[in-house]
Amino acid sequence: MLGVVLCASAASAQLERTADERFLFWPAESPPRPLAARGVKFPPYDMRTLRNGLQAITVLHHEQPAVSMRLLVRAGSVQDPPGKVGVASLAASLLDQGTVTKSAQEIADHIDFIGGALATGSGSDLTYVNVVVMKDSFDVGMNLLVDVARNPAFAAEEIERQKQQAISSLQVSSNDPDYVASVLLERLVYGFHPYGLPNSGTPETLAAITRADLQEFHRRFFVPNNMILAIVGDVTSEQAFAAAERAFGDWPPAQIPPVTVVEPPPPTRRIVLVDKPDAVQTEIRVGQLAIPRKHDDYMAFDLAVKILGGEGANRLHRVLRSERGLTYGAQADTEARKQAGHVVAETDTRTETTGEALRLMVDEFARLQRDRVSQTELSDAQAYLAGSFPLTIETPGDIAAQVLNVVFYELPVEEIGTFRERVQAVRPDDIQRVARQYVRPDRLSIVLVGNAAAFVPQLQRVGFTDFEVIPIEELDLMSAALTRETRRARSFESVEPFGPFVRSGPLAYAAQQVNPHAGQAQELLKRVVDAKGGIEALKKIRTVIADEDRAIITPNGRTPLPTKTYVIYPDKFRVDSLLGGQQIVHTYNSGSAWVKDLSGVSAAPAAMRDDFAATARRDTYPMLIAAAEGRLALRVLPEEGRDGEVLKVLEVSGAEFPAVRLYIDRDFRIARQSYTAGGPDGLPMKIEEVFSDYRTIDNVAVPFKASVLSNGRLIIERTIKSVAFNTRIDEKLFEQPL
Amino acid sequence: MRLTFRIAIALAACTVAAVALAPVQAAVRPPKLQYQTTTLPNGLRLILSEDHSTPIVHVAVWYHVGSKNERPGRTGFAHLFEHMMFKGSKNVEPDAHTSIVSSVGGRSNAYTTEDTTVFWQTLPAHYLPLALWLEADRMATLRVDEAAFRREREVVKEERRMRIENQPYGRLSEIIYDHAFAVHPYKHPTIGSMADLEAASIADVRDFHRTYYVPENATVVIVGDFDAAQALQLATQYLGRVPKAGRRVPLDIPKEPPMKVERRAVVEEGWPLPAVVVAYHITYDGHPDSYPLHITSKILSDGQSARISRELIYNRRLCLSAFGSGNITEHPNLFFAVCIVQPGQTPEAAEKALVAEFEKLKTEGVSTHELQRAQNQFARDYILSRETNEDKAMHLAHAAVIHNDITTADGEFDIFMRTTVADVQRVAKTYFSESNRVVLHVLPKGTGR
Repeated sequence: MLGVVLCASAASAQLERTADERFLFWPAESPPRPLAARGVKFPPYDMRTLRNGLQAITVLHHEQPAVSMRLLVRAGSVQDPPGKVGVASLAASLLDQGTVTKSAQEIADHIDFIGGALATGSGSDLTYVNVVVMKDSFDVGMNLLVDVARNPAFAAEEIERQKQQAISSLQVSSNDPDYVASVLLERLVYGFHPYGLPNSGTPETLAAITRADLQEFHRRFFVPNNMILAIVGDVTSEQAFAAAERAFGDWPPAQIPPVTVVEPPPPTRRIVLVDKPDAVQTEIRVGQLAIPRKHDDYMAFDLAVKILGGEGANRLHRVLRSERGLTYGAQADTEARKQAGHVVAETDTRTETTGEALRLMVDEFARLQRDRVSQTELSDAQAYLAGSFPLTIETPGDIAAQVLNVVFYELPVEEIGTFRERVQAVRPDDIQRVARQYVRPDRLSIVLVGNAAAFVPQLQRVGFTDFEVIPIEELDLMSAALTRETRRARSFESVEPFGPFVRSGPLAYAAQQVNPHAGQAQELLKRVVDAKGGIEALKKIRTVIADEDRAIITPNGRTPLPTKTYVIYPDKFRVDSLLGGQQIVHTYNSGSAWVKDLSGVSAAPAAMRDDFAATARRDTYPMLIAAAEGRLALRVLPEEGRDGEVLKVLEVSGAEFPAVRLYIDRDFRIARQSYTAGGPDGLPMKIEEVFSDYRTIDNVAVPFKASVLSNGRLIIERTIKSVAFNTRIDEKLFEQPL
Repeated sequence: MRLTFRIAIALAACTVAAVALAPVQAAVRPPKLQYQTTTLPNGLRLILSEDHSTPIVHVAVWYHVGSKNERPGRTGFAHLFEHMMFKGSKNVEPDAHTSIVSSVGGRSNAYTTEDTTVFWQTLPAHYLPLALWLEADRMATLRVDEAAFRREREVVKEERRMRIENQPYGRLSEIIYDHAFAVHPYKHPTIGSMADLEAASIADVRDFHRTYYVPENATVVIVGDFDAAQALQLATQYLGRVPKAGRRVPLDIPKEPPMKVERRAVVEEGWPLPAVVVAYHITYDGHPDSYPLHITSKILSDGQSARISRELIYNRRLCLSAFGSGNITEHPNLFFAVCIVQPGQTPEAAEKALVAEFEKLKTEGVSTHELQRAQNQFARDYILSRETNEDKAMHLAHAAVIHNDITTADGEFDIFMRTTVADVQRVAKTYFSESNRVVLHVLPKGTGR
């Protein structure tokens, strides 16, 4: 009991509790002043490097009689061999499943009986072994730790068992919208860089992993000069370092092989809908490539992202939850890793509010990039980040995590001590600068996992018209098109899946998000433009008149549709067709569109008008010119095998230019192109156009034959009868038809 | 008979010898918690525990009301109300509680269980007055605004969709409890049903606040870097002026009648792999049988060497994941085992294997080695779950609110260490009987019956 006499205070304690009276009698007042502030010191820790290169850290804490050990190996899925995603993860799961001297069961019996715990795992850049024991089992714990790290048996039976576990787990997680949304977002942001691939592998890659792969991974990367060991808890520093020396000291160092990975692509607008018809909510992820952890702008960028969606600020939470009740939670995080980093905003909302929630999220990215943040808003974010520092050093584990973090990312150790000062030093100008430099609202990767048929019309209403839809059971992160269908089409190709776009060594990072492969993509584009006739020839084209024999293909047969097309670049076209003797006219003129058919003349519906606008922009000549002049983003995707030929894939995209993929043949001609367009039923269609019979007109290569496929089904065939460039065309043709 | 007995003795002797050679025999004793407790004149219970190792303080308010206090047709209300506590009070603007706390570098949140609703904040130590002032303000003068209520109800519905409806196995617990209980409110999940959330009204909010959010029904626990005398003075200043309630907190919760025959059900859900559940009704938290039941949970599923992990996951590869453990709460609850069935295995085989584990506990009991292992693991959990101020506050408040005896926060350690193999076998025989059993097969859609 308290040894203090309590004053039965305020008469208010006797008040009758009725709602109104409570309000009446309760004082109106401001929050109380704080007490005197207490000093915050980072608790003592010690660091040494053993002769074999192992970095050891000790943090002493004597409140509870326990010691924990954390071993980090600087190798994770980034070090997975090409085509064998999941090696690091499978190796980590096998570390405690038997060593050369102890079976899996013996290890489990041992650690469980002493009241300890042992956990192993891996991420993209690291593998870990964590052991916690009571202080009187410290040596036992250390011996077990080094044994599982150094001498894993990788027994065939255990490999089989862990593979089965991993594959069954994937079967569950591939049905979990939250998991699917997160891995797919990373896949869109990082492409085929290992950060974009699922750490735990896929059923196919796991099946392909052999015992030799695991042993090789272990042999190459599990060396003491590639490890950090933290010993934390109720021991003395001398005891801890002596134990580290005894357990790890005779493990010889070795050369660490450099990593070989594909670069992440530049930020590109891409929206992927994963269709799960029984979902009651849509998982939304919006993200883009940003900066790695060890980057000078990290602090300012992290604060900018906290304003967008972090603790202490969080515009997303306010807009989506507090103001509109659209979600239980919305936040944004800086995921800054070793080689690269990204920003990701996430929320989940009911199917009916998907479009609204997505629009608001994307608008917040745009606002962050466009508008200067106020000093007040920044101060709130800073107050939380700096003020909560003492909350982040409460337990020995927390303290160790802070030290491990700076050592792992090779940051200056002083950063821990100067954290609060560095937070407070950031100014609104800094936020504005990093937001402008790194935030690309026009190039966001967007993932929606949910009942796509139900929310697609909402997306179109709020201005998202270009997206891909993939049924959840067909999603395949290892395929360029993200679907199993294409994967099968690719399976006969003989080329290495990462094609020629592999480079060795640590990744260089430009301050600006310049596409490290921009040169390569530019080079490919140049070849395509040259094959087309050269940039000058393309620029000379002002108008086009073409006569075509078209046919519409339906399950019921072919319907002829002779067509005459008129184009004035950049934004006027007219298509006259004859359907069963009846004239049909479609015209598009700088944003306006009309239709003339049996029912008369009318303004085109919005969806059709938007589709016409997209068609005008997508026209090959202006698209190639814009790309050559750097007004559109380019990225090279893995090559694809089609009909026995390997085609290079170049993706062209821009702020107002939904991505078009060009499939390029060995003569650098465009053999196909694909894009997503709004279909008549409001659902997106994946359109593919296949070009052939190239002939030269005015020095420009023109495909005289083309087929159009919608979602894989042939819908149109066309053959050019005649084509003429730069003929004068009466502009009246593009006005509202009579 | 006689011979068997001798063999048993001999085996027991061997086991003891083996244990003696093992590196650890008795569990390491964790340090005891230091605390003071008092009740303010308005009936509010206060627990103070100083810890000066880091300059932070944790303040938690436990209201002794949870989903088991809900009336039929209003399931989910306790939790929905928890959300309303962030919608402003006389001196605090709507949604400002969280931002005020974060603006001083603190964190705050709340959670609702079957038995309690807990509001907490961890802040730099010198902001203790702020935390107490904020909690007192909303205890005394919650603002109840129709528009805010409607919006928050949508937020809670999203929370239900997110946590329960939209992820594989999210509804498993809801399915288990719906089948296992007939009348006790544990039958329904804390988050409630969509229909009941929709039916909740603003009048319910006012009534709930008046009934349950009163000082006599609140326990405030403060752990961290403060001076106890000063903390008491501050708590008295802010929380002490919240007026007493005019009426008693209702305690009329229907009792669950004992089961007479086994209940079985097959249901379908859109989950990728089948789940099999074997559940038994058990006793309440604090009952002498609850301790051997905790030990039983560890013997079945703590660590890879535990029985269910080893036999069903490792040896037989029947389950992708599996466990068996007691959900031990203020009122009698369930002990249940779950197996997520591996492809190629059958739910029938999984059920048989789970039931066999319970039968084995009854017929063969557990070994002293297993008991010792469970006790060592228990000591580990005890130690590692008392590292943070928040952890300590949780143990102290749980003992005070659920056991109504704060000494159990430390005293339970000794009860666990004194538990015998006979105790474990006795409770197995008491509860793990066929007539007290609920068996569920939850199959992927389109594969049932």
